[in-house]
Amino acid sequence: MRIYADRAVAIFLVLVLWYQLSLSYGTDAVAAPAATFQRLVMLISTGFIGPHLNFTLSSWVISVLLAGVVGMSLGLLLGLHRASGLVFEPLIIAVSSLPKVTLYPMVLLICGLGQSSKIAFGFIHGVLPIMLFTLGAAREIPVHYVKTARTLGLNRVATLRRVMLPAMASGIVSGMRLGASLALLGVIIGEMFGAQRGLGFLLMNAIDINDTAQMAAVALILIFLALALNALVRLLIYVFDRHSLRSFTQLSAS
Amino acid sequence: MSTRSHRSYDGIRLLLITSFLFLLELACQMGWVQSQVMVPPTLMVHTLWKLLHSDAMVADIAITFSEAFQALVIAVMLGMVLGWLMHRWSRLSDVLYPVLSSWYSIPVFALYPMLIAFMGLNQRPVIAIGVLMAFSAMALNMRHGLQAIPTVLNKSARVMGVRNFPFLLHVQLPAILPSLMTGFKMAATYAFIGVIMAEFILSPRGLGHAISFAYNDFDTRSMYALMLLIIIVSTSVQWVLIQIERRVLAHRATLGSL
Repeated sequence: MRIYADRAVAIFLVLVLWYQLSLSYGTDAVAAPAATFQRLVMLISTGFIGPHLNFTLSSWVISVLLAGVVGMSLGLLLGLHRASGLVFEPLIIAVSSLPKVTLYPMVLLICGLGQSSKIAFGFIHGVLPIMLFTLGAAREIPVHYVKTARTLGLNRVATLRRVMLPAMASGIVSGMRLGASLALLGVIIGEMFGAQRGLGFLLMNAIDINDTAQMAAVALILIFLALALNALVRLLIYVFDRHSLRSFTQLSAS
Repeated sequence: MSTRSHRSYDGIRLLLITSFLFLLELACQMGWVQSQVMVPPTLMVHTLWKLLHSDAMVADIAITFSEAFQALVIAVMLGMVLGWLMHRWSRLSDVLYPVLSSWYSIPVFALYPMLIAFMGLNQRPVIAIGVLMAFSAMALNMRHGLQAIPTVLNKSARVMGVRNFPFLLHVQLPAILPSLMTGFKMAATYAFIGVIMAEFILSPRGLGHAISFAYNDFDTRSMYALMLLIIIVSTSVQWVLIQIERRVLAHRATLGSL
C-alpha cells in the first residue's frame, strides 16, 4: 500500500515542478498542466486526434510485425549456426549503436514520402534488438536440452517447437519489448519529417507554430503509449509464465 | 586457440564488408541505382575528404563531440548518484525502478521543444537530450552492481574492520566495476545518439544539423559523406570503449592496492 502512496507523491511532485516551470518561464515556453489536460481532452473529444493516432498506430503495428518476423528468423538462424553468429554479431551491434536518425534521408529517398517510409524507419529501429536478443537466446540454449531431445527421438521441427523456442522465450520477449519501443520511436521520428499525418507530425507542427499546449499534450500521449506497451508486455509475460508453468507441471505429472 | 578462431572471424568479417562495399560501388557505377538515391562509396570517401578540409565542417564536428562528451559526463555522474540513492533507499527504488527500466521507450525527444523554449536555442537543450537518453542506463547498472555485491564481501569487510572510504575503494568499487563499465558503454552510445538526434531535429549547429541541411539542399553527396563519417566515428567509439573495458577489468583485482 505504501508503494502506491509513494508513487502518488512522486506524480504530485512532478506536477508541482511542471506547474512551477510554466509559472516561472511563462506559457510561451512551457504549457501549464491544466491547459495541457484541457487541450488533451479537446483533441480527443473533437475527434481531431483520431486519424493521426490511427496513422501512427498502424505504422507502428506493421513495423513491429515485420521487425518481429525478420528479426526472429534471422536471429534464430545466426544463433543456431555458431560461426555466422560470431561473424555477424559485432556487425549488428555496430549498426544498432548508430544514430539511426541520420539514415532517415536515405529511407525517404528510397521509400518516398508516404507511410512506407515511416514503416521502414520503424522497422530499422526495431529489427536489430530483436535479432540480437534472439541470437543470444538461441546461443544460450543448454546443449543437453537439444541432446535430450535427440535422444528422445524428436525430429527437427518438434525440437524447435517443443524445446528450443520455449527455452528462448524470455530472450525473445525482452527483444520484442525493446524492439517494439524503439520501433515506436522510429515511427514518430519518421513522422516528424515529411509527413502529413501522425503524432510525430502533430508534434512537429506544434513546434513550428510554438503551440506549447499541443506539444505537451502530444508528449503525454506518447508517454502514455510507451507505458501502455510496457503494461501489455508485462501482462503477456505473466500469462505466458503461468501457461508454461502449467504445461511444465503437466509434463512432469504424466 | 580461441584468439586464433576470433582472428579468422575478423578476416571473414572484413571480407564481407569489402564485398558489400564493392557491390555497392558496382551497383552505383553501372547505374543500377539512381545517383539521387545512392552514391558510390569511393565518391562518399572523396566528398568526406573534401568536407574535412572546410573549417565550418570541422567546427560542426567539434561541437557535436563536445556536446556528446558533456552529456556523457553529466549522465554518468547523475546516474551513479541516482543508482547509489536507489540502492540505499528501497522506497525510492520502488518508485523509480519501474520508470527507469522502461525509460528507453519514453520518447524523450518529445520534450525537446520545451527544453529549447526554456533553455534557448543553443547547446544546452541538445546536451540535456543526451543526458536524458543516457542517464537511466548508468543508474540501472550502478544499482544492479551495488545490489549484486555478494553479502560475504560486505560481511568479511566488516569483520576485518574495513569501513568508510577504504571500504568503498577496496571492496565496493572493484565489485561494481563490470556493471559500471556496462553502464558507461551504454551511456556513451545513448548520449551520442541523443545529441545527433537533437541536432538533426532542431539545431543550428553540429553534425546532425549538417546532415539534415544537406538533405534539404538535395546535396546527396555531402549527406552520404557525413553518414559515412558518423558510421566511422560511432564504430571507433564503440571499439575504444570495448578496449577500455578490457583494460580496466583486467586490472580490477589490483585496483584497491594502488
